Amino acid sequence: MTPNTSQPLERMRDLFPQENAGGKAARNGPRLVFDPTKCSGCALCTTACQAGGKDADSPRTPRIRIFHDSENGSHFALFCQHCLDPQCLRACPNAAISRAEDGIVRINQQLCVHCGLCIAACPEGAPFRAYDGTVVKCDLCEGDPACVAACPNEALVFTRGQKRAWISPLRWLCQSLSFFLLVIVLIGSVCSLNLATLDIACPFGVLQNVFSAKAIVGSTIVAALLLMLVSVLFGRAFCGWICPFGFVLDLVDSILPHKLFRLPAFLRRRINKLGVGAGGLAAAGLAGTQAFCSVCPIGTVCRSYGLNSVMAGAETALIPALAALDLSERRSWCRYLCPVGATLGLAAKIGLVRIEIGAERCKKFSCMRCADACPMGIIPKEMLVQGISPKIPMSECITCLRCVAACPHRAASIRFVWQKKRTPDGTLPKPTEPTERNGNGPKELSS
Amino acid sequence: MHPYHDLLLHYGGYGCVECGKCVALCPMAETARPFSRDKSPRGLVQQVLDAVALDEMPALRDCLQCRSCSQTCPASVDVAGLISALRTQAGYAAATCMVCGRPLMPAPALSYLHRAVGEAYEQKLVYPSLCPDCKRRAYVRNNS
Repeated sequence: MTPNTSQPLERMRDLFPQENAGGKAARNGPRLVFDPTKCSGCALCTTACQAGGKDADSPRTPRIRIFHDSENGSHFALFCQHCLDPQCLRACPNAAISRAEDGIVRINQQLCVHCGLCIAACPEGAPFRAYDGTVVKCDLCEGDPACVAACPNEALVFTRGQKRAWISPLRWLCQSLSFFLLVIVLIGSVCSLNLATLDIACPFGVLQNVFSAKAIVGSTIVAALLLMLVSVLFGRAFCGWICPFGFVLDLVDSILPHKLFRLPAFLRRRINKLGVGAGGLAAAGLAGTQAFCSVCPIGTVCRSYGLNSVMAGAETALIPALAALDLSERRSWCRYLCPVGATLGLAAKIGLVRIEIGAERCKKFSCMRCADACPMGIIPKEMLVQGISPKIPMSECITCLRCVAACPHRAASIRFVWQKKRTPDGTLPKPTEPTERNGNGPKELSS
Repeated sequence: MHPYHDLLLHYGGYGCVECGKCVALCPMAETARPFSRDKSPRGLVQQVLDAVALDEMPALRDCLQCRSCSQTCPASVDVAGLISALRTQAGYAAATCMVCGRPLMPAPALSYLHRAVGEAYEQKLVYPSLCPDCKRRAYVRNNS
């Protein structure tokens, strides 16, 4: 029997209906942003918090603490992040913790029984146990934090964050322009395009050509290299910014709901892309034509313009069929099946651009906006929620920059390979071997 | 002779008036579902008065030692202290921090915590099994 922890407990809701109603909390709540590169470790913030803000008459347990890392000489402040989806709120057995409409997470001391489960539930242990046994946590001094005023180096900033709102319109403009150009103006053209002096061809199509004709034609290889070069420079930007079928999928994703059903497990493997690619190449080699291209949804979209094409092509039915996969996960085709994306992904893997989530300003578990925004689902929430900066596999990333646009604290960013990493690769703590000292507890959880 | 006579005398268990104020406060109502008489602080005191065997007291495994029952009791029964002493008698050990091995919380409470915070995620989360110090250390190491 599992407890229903997703909503506040009924018995407590009866007592404090307005506090724990769960309603709409501020999407952009106020919070402190800490910059470890500016912190000098003076712990004046702790002292200011201990003094109890402006109008306190006696010292109290500080709600912010400074940790010193003697190995690399850095300092770090631990404090409540006022999460959008607080883990402490989920864990509290008495519903004493609530996230109010102003976005501040508070402990209701009338309901709290000081059991300490919130300390155990918080990924950084931000609620602190006070000297008298009660559990206390930051309440942002009701909007005027004393620690921020006390910090001499401006390492602590009180902010609501600001999004980069211009990225999304730019991407939609680019996508719709290229859809208009590739599908309506230059009919049937992503696959191979001959402008006056410029040849552009789909790299996977050229690969099929090589297999079906069993000969290498230099000019087509050069034409295919252009898209591969773009992928080396910008990652799979073709998928995120140009691909007409990707545009269709993005439209479907923004209109229709997803997570309606789950795809079977064998479909939800990203390696499937390479399998489809190998199958396509084998079919090309056996049939002697570019067999996959006749069912490729990208090519199908390009060929679908005009009444004739829609009427004639049974292949046009592929578009809604594959778009229907998006009802389970966004961009399912691009995630798991597209061999064109897989080919470009090989180039993007050695590419110059990396997406880095979790520069020093990332709030990790408290936010998850990047993970929610990512259409490819490559930002693992399990890592973020444990306070670890995830490594983004660039062969899967379509460089749509939704994460960069969604992050209000500018923590998701583009990094070129020659730039220094701003956050080390995180690792989960490993369990230590049972010794005489720690070996007497139960190793496996019962029930 | 009552088998728990010394403990009952020391922690005031004979004074229990069964008012149930401790039951209203007890977080075991959520962490140890289904809650029952035997799992409540009042039920535990009554079980001890009835001289039940130690391994038939489920509250011994589930209690979080928040001490709110002892603080609220109008008859000054120190239920949390009684449970602590009975745990020592029963040889009951808490779940330990997986890194430093220090006692963390009762194993049923830990599995409640894993359910409560981990239900939204596909993989099992590691940090609920860490003590606050190890957790803060890991967080600082991964982010500084």
